[in-house]
Amino acid sequence: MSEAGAAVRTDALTKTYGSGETLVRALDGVTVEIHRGEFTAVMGPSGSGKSTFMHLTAGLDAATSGRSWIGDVEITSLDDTALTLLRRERVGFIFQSFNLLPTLDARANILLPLKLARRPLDSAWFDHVVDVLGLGDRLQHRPSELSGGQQQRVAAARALITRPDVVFADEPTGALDSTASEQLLDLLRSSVRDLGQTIMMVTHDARAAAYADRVLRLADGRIAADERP
Amino acid sequence: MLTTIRRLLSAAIALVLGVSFIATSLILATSMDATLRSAAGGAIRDASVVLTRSPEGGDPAFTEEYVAAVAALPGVDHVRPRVVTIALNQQAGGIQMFVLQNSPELSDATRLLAGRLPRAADEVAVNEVAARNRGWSPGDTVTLDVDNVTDFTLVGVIDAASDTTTEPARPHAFLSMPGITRLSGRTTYTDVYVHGPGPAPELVDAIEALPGTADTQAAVLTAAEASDQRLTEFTRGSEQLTVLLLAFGAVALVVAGLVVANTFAILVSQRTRQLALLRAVGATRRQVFATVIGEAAVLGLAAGLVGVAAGAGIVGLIAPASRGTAFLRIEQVVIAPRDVILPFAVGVVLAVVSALVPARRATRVHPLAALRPQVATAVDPSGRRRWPVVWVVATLAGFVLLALGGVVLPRADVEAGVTVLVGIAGGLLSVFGVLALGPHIIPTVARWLSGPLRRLGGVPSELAADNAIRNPSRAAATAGALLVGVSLVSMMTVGAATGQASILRNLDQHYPMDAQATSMDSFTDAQVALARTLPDLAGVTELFSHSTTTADGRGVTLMGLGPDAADAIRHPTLMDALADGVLLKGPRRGFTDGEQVRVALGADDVTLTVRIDPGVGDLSAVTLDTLRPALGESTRSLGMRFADGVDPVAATGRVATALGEVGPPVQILSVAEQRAQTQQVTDTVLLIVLGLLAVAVVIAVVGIGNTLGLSVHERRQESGLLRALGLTRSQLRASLGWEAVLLAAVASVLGVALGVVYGLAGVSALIAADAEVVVTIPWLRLALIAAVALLAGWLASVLPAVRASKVPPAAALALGE
Repeated sequence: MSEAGAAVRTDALTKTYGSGETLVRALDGVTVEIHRGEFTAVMGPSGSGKSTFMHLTAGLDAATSGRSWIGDVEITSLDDTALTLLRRERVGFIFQSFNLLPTLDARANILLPLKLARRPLDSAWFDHVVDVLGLGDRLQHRPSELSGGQQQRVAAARALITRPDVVFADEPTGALDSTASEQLLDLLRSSVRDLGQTIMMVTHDARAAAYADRVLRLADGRIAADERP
Repeated sequence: MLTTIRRLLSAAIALVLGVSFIATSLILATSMDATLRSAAGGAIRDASVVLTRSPEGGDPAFTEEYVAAVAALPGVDHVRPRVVTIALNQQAGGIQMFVLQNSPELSDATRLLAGRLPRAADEVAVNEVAARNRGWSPGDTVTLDVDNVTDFTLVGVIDAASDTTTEPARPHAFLSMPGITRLSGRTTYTDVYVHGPGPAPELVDAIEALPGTADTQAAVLTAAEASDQRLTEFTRGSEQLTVLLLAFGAVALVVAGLVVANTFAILVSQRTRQLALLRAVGATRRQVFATVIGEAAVLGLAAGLVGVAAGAGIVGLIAPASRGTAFLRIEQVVIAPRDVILPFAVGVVLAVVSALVPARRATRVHPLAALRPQVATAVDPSGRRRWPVVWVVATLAGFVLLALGGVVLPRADVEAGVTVLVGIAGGLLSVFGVLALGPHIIPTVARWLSGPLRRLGGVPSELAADNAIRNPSRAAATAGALLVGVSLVSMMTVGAATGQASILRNLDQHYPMDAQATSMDSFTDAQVALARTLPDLAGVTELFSHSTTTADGRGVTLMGLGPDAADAIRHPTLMDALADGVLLKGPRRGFTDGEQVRVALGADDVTLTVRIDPGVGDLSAVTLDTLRPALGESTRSLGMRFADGVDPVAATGRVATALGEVGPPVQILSVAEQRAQTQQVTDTVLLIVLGLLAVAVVIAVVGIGNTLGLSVHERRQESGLLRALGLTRSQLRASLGWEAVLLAAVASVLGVALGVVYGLAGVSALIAADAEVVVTIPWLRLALIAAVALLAGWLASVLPAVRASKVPPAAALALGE
């Protein structure tokens, strides 16, 4: 795949905490490309830097050194407001928990990124996403009235609604039982296959990684392996 | 300690403000008391026995011979006789009343500043205040007026301290005894201070045994008794002041209590996991309770200490500024034990009591909660809770009582004491009801207000509107404190405006003329003629007043009006009702229309027919012809009407000066001046009251910042999510600002509404029975109050908002894992 088509690209991306003797290298000079239209899993034990990697490439945190791109925009050179606007338009998120605003119902949660970006709603697309994720009868409910699996599907719908360049998923199945996990991973897979969505998923669960096209293994802040299962 | 100090800081500030208010009030009272005590009893110095007026009798008159007899008693070292009376001094600046005393004995405190003490009958000394006011120095001529106008030569200036006079701030003139006699004919003293080494009671007996003592009808008191008697007369006013200050302090404390309770409620709900952990590890319910209460107690202790220290500091700052005033003087800061113990205890007790309910809730945390993931605050599904009937009924009952006390009862001529009590009961009941219904009322009003707000502020305000009411009880507690403050301020403002307008309207109705001039002696024809030519006056009429009684014992001061009275009276139609043989009176003054009354006039008894006309005010008007039999015994005065556009206060001075130059000094009682004075007094009182209430409002605003800060901390994962999804930093700050503004807006709207109701009802309850209530709602001021509340609410949100926006999204989200 050519560089111009990379969804996410990094160059010697580094994140350190502390200094001197207490220096911790969470991410140590990682250079990698995430390809468009692929389901990429980032794996590793705790402390391997996989979450840090996601936070930095998604623009949720600032790197200590190195550079990172989303598409052709270098995010490491943007100020906070520009970064925020970029996230609005071109990035989708699914977190392990606390995905949804408790004061809004499912429909409002799904449409939240559009509201923030002041973009009009494409009803056909909305209906399609809701349909694919099986949320049709749950739209009026608040998060407290939804099961864990349903909440994650609402989060997935929200991540997809803006048709972002890349969806970052951080341990999306971490709090789900096996049935709900399978359901969610199936949906993520089909959105990649059928809609051409690019997804980068951080996980420690090998079975989840099995759904991906490519698995990056991190250890001690570096890429230890790059496989296609 | 479960909680970091920073979380408790706002609650601490609220408590400190409340405690220091109480401490300041108490220390102020003690210091004022000490100053008054030394002022009141200062003149006693180290005398053992005081001869002075007794409470029943009139002014005693101690002759020189009597004083000499007392001095000759064995056991008496030294006597200090004193005369205290009044004299007038007229100059270009106007007539001023001087305290007139005999020459004092000099002491460390009472010193000569220039010249010497007066000896001869034509010599006078004055105190520093007088010399400064009039620009006098030794050698000048000073004119004093008691019954005759007499000239004196100024020979000295004295610094008259509180061991010579009870009112050092007023102008004084000191004459030798011959001088006093020359001026007023007076030869006797009003007090005698007796100094002697022996025990006071024996001296008292010896003096009472003197033959002349019984004739003087004086009280013979020991120094201690005399000091107490003087002090009682003086402190009556300051006691009321203390009670008033403490009442405001109580308000401040109640608001502080609300803030502390809210703080602990939030903290407990945020510490669920920690508390559950404690319980899981083996802490009993009682130990958990004790931990929370212990934190509250420490908070109270710390706040109490700081509050008391602050209170002393504030009084120390006030003291120098107070020395200029006559009433609130503080010579030095005096602190009694109760001034320290009471506020301190109140602070601790309030902190502990406010934390009781949250502490109990803390004990109900189940140990298993430690294992569950932490859930953000529960969200109430659109407030579909049912309204508690009891409180709804109570609130309505409160307003009904308020209407009774404010409107219905006064109309039925029930006396003011009862109507005020009913009104207060209704007010308190309704306020408690509104606060208890807060979790229902406040979200409802917030929803109404948030409609227009959403359109105004865009995405941040939509988020804010949802967040503000997601926890109704918390929103109610936060807004409730500010509601109390705003409603009190509004109540005072509306009450003062309405009260002022009503009093002024009623002043007009009591005096049909602009001003009335009375002479020190009697009017000369030259004065009357001059008055008619003065440009400040549009109308002048001679009035003749004569006091008499009706045959059935009602006292009445008849005012004879001449034919030119129409020039001076503001309701000229009044003259139509007046005719010979008619007594014109105002309504509700004990006379009925058509009544026949017999009055003694001179040597005759005359029968008059009573006519009622509201325009005559307090006067009892008759024609000059009717009054003719008693004309010789009547006092002449002038009724005056000011020319249009003239400033009444300045005109009064000019007229008095002009008339005083062609005859005896003239005193002018001017309604317009009274109006100006009333306005000034009510404005000053209002300012002071608002200043005191401002403390409560500040506490409430601190409470808003407090709640917001804690809520923001609680919602940090949500904030992280929103930031991740695309909410910029400034949008996050804006949404928090809107949240605070929305709550402040709810408090303002409700507070102003309640304040208007309470203010009008209060004034009506006080005066509607006797006077007309002129409903005045100062909309501009109320709008200003609301604006200040909104601004303060927004300011309270700035710090928490800035802190929240600085957290990078990843950090905010990661904390949940």
